[in-house]
Amino acid sequence: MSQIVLQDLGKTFPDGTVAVTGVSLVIPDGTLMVLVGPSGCGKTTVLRMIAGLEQATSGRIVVGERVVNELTPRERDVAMVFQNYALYPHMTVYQNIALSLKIRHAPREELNQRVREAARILGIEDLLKRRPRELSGGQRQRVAMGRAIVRHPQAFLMDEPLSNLDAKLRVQMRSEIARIQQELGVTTVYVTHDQTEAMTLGHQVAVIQNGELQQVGSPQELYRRPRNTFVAGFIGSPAMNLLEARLTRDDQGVAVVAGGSRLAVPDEVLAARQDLLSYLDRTIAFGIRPEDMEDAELAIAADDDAIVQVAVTHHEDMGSEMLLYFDLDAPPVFTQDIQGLAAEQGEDALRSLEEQAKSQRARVVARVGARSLARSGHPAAIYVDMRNAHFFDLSTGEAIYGDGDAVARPLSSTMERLREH
Amino acid sequence: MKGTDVEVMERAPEAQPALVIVPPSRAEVLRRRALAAAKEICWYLVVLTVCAFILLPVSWMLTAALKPDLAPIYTVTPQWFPSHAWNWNNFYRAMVYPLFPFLRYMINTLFVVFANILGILISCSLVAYPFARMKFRFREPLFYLLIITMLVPWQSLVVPQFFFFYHLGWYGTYLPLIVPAFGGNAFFIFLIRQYIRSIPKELDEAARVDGLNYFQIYWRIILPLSVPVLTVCAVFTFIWNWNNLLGPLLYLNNNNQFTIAIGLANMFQNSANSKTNLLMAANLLSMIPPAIVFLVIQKRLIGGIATLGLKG
Repeated sequence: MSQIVLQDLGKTFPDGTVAVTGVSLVIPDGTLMVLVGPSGCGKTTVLRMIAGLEQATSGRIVVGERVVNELTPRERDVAMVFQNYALYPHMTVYQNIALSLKIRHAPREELNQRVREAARILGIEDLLKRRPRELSGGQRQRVAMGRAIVRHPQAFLMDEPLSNLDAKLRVQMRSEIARIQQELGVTTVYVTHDQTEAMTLGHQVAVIQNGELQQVGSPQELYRRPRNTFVAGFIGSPAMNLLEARLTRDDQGVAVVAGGSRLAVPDEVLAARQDLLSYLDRTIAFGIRPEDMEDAELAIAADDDAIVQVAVTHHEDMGSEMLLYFDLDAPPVFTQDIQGLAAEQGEDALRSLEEQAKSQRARVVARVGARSLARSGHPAAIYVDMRNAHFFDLSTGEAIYGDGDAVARPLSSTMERLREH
Repeated sequence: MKGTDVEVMERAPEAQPALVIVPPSRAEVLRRRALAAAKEICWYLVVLTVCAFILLPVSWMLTAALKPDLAPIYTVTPQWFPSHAWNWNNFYRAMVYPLFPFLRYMINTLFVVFANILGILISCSLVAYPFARMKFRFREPLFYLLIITMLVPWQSLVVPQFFFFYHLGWYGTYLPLIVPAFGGNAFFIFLIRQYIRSIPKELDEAARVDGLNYFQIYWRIILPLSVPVLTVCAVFTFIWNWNNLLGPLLYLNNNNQFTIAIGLANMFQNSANSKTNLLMAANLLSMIPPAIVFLVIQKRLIGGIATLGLKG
């Protein structure tokens, strides 16, 4: 049990592919850190470098007190859970869990006791004599966890451990993993491409894209203060609506003009985001989460200057809430990052985004109260809670804050200390 | 059929058109069954013909082995069955014939065969594992070099090899027949390497994280999972060595050292009255061990791959 520090970690494969660049991350002792990002973003490579299965081409990896870059996986004393479990098919569950201890010549008594302890924690005591092929997906998952737990390692590394399970089991195992991690208090690095998993599981979440760290923070921080359009679009479901809009100032104050709609920017937002004023009369990326919109009929305090009139094209009644889809006559943000995010969701999503960009009409989703009377094919008035709106520089994708440090960086101080050594 | 349709419609005119399941007529059923039977018969005929081709000589050997010593064997109209007595006793006589110690040959052969299997399994898997899993300089060129050795015709190696072993002082011992197996075999190395490559790499990685070193991964993970391909190699080695005539002929010079192949070749050939019946009996007996090996192992040979089911 110990903290893990990654310092300017980089990996370039022999064929020239750059998988990871300059990743710096402090994972405090006992924390569950989730690395999340679209497939192929380098998150698994980071994990494999910590495990010692991949050599880092630059930077340092510190586990506990030791720089482990040059150590073999055997010497690093970390345990890993693989995506496809990687159970040894010719061994029983007991042998699978016991192997690492056996290799280290643990006394028979202790070995037996620790295997049973791990099995008890995972509730697989009655499976110990079976072989992996006789187990269900969830049981295999548990055995894979058991193999990690039994070692009492410095850290757990988990590489998309739930992605081979069906949806229901995934939710169950997710809370199971959270419980076990809590119980054992072992520093854990957890890799996933699923932002829901990241948000629900992580004490801290690190968003990675194209091998670069985008933002690290608690789930709430990432959700409330995304550092750039990528994090904004990646975290949250349904995703944040991102449109191109102009920031203007007229006699009624500062407002966002998106196509034909005008949305006043409240003073408190301007106070919190002082850099915003330097973007006056410029096109910015305007972001609003579906849950920060409401049917104006249902909104408690709907200011008139924060209401847009729309024609609902499509509605989804979820019972507890309703999703309204409508088009605004403003183009969607169509940067590389956003296209990448759409592509991650499938070819249809990307094609839809391309069409929206071509027709200069962005499709917007609002999550409104279940009692809303808005229906497909009918007009509706939508209240936009501008206090929770997000603003980004269109060319860099960076969030516009200007209240000192854009994003809290608890790791910078640790980094400084490390550099001094 | 139409009648039923109409009836349904009449009874419930407003209901949606009912789904009428039309059972096939009796004649249709019979026709289909006949067709299936005919197909099966044809299939059996083909298989039986092929079987006859293979088994005919063997059955001729059997009847020839059962004939008395002086009975003619190569008659112009082949005389299939012994005319007077069926001398099962011939099998026993073949085994204990003093000039040609059949059982001795058997034991010698089994010794050579199993020593070879041991050598092949150890050497080939040890070489194949790094070729399949480790990264090292010149891995590919070395592997191709290995493959190329398969192209060297064995005929061109016989004489130099003989002198080589002769000068080592191994002539007249089993060493030239056994030691080369411990040096590997290009074909088997290739076979095992391909198989190891099909074993998911995550297993190696999991083992490395679990703290196993390369040899432990080989010994505890790769080897047990390679049993199917190792079985194939063992069976091939068994058959090749069981049937190997040239090797023993070149290097062995003592009747008590001979293997079964060379023993059979010598048997009754040079004696004045060739006892073809005993020769045939001995031949048949020599076929038994390979047959047993095959019967015992065929399940493993075929079922091996299934043990690798990793994903759910």
